[in-house]
Amino acid sequence: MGRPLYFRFDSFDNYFCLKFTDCPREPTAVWQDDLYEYRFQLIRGLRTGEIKGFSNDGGDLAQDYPRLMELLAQHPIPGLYDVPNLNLTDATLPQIITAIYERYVATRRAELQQVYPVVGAQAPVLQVADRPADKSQTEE
Amino acid sequence: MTPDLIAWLTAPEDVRERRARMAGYLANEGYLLPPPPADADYDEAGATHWVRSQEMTVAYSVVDQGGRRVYHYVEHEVDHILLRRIERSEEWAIQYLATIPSILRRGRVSEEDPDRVVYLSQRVYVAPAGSKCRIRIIVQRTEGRRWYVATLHPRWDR
Repeated sequence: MGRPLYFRFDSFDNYFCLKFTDCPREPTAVWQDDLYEYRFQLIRGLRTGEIKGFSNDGGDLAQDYPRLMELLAQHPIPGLYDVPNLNLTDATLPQIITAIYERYVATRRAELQQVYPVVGAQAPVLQVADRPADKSQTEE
Repeated sequence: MTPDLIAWLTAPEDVRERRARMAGYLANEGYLLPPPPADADYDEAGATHWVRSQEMTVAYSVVDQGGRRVYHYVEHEVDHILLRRIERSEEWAIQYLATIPSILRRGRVSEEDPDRVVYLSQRVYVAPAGSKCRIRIIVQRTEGRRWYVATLHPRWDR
């Protein structure tokens, strides 16, 4: 069994929060986010100094994922974790972040392209209606 | 912080009600939401902008040290900045919410790229348990090319 992590994802800016559920609650602050180029943070307890979880507040997983994987390979975080609401057990942090990316970001690719248009991508061809609109739907 | 608490805090449809719930929760924990900053520009307060496909209401704006007009949005403050601080046990840092304008004007720029600027407060704040923290603010540029305050969080300072 890995250490249990609470998980929440915010699709507004592709934010994730992973917090340990097996340790007492205490005030926290961000730690070592510069090491991960502000794309990833360790959440550190201010009383005990323990790591309380991980997050990417201020980043965007849709844009940061490839670089974040490189950074986690350069500065690995050891341990195996369980994330019940991702159905993951004994997973490493890169495996968890990959699962988040695949389930919450990659599946919304079309929606995200409206927010981050692909440079050079062809605009969709406008469809012309082949019959007049229903009278009830006509604007006055 | 439990999923039930998150659901309760975010349940009201109206942003003012969500803010009031969070303010009540924070008061129970011993923290008060600060009043709006006096050193911000309120000329466009109440205007709405589209940010990442969501309509947001301008709370105020600030011209930062790089000459960018940076907007701070009501909905973003409640649904993202406040909620995340509560979720992560960083409620204590919410009392520094009103320092956003001064940090954008006089903070240290940690990183700058075309769509993101990372600021760190010059001032070191005493956090719970006697720890020392600075306040980090990250501003980002929207698809509409407007800058906005993406987050404010405390950063442990050794």
